[in-house]
Amino acid sequence: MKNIKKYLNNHLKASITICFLAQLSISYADHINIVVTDSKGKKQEQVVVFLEPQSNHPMAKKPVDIVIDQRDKEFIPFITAIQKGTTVRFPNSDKIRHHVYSFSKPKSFQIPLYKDIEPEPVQFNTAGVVPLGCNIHDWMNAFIFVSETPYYSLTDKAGSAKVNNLPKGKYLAKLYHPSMKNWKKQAGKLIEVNGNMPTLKLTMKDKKKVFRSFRPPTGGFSAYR
Amino acid sequence: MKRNLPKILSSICDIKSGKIRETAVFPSFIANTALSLSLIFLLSISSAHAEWVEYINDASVGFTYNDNLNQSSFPSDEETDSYITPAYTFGRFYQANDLTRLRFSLDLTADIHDEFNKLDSLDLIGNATVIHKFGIGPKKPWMRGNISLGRKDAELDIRDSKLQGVGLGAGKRFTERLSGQIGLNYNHRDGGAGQVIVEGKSSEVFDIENKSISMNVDYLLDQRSQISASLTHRDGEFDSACTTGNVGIVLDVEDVKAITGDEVFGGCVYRLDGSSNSARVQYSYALGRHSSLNVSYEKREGKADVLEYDTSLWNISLMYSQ
Repeated sequence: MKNIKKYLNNHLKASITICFLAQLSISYADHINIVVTDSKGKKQEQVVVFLEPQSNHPMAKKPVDIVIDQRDKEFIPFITAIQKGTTVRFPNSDKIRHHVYSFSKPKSFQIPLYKDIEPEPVQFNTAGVVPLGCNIHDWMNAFIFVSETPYYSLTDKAGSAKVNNLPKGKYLAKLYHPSMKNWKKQAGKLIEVNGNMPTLKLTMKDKKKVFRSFRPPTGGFSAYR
Repeated sequence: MKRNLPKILSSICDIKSGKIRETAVFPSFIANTALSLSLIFLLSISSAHAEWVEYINDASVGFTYNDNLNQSSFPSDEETDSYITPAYTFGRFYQANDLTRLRFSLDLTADIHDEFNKLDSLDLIGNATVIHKFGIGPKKPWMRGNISLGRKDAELDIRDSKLQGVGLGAGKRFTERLSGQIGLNYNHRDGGAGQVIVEGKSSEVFDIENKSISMNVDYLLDQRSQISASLTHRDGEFDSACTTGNVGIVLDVEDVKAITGDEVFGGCVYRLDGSSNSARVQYSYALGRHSSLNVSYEKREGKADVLEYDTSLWNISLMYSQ
């Protein structure tokens, strides 16, 4: 009799667990597709799309290995989106030394001159934008967007991005790119995630020219070189 | 260094009038520059991060058209010519600490003239520069001091010269687009003597000494394009040439310090003590991360006593930097 009760008890627990997990999986939409254009309708590459939940959601951490390399005196990639708490590796594939730094509010750090040995990864625990620079090569720059939530993605060459594993609910869809003048003040677009979602179209407004200048040996007069 | 800079600047330049002081103060300028360079170097080498960081491998080729090549004060004597200027720089940077770096380079530059081949020359100049930045970041101001020594090997022996220069500069990037620099330079071209053609007058025409102050602005139009503008005031000596018909007028001028016969243009070439101003604008287009195409125009005007000259230079150049 005791064995039967134990069996039923365990079976019941397992059934409840399965039902709960099934319930959880049902409350997640598969993904949402987003297309970003500028005000003239031109598709925008390397734009961060991030969704701010308007209610409490369980927010799993994205298990990712983030690398920002230095090749031919450039940071690769130019824009990186990560979730708060993520660590980033900064290898140096160049044959010369670099000195990586940021003095931003979300993260202030320096990795002094290094070349062959990869330094300790850097953890980013505060949401916001972290501009990167190289103390040796002033033209080198890059940006890390540190997201509060795991609901973000970067647009590809076709201006398309995809955010996966979104729980149902309301979100404010927002954009970030270094060329946006006031990205923090943008109103965002309120969306409701509910099963099959049509492609979301977002427009990047208030755009300035961003200067990721080449390293032109201009023969000019400047050049801290 | 911050405290020294105003002293050094005021020893060279009368800020209110904008005029450069007499040459007599320049030994102190050189001394100050050398002292500052030495101090920075001594402070730098104690850093834990001091190390060689990268090589300099820059090459360029330019084409210039000059509408008054001989800087003549007489319109009838003015000669025009175009010349090609291939150049190569090899060097290395030494990062002394987070904020200070040393730059050592050897610059090889040739002048190959289309018509006046006797002006062809080859310059080899060694440069040592200390660059100090007042903080980490692209918008922090910087200053630099440099010393150069070299030699000009010209087609004609009279134009062979030793070249010496000392300079101080400071700059700052103000915005993503705009940066500016100022510079003070002392240059001495130590040429030999030519044939004496006027009793009592020196024939060392190419023993030329001058100092200059310059201001430059660079403005990025977009990621690839940059325009630059530069103004330079030079105080001191320059060379000029005239045909035999005008030698008499030249000899009446008090500011003529040396004169000799000239094989290049015919007539004579002489050294004047005066001043000159130049304005230059340049457009640069980055062809990629390592090369650029540059087009520039420069207007120069020189004056000494009653003699004046002006010249215009158009230049196009292709630059490559590793």
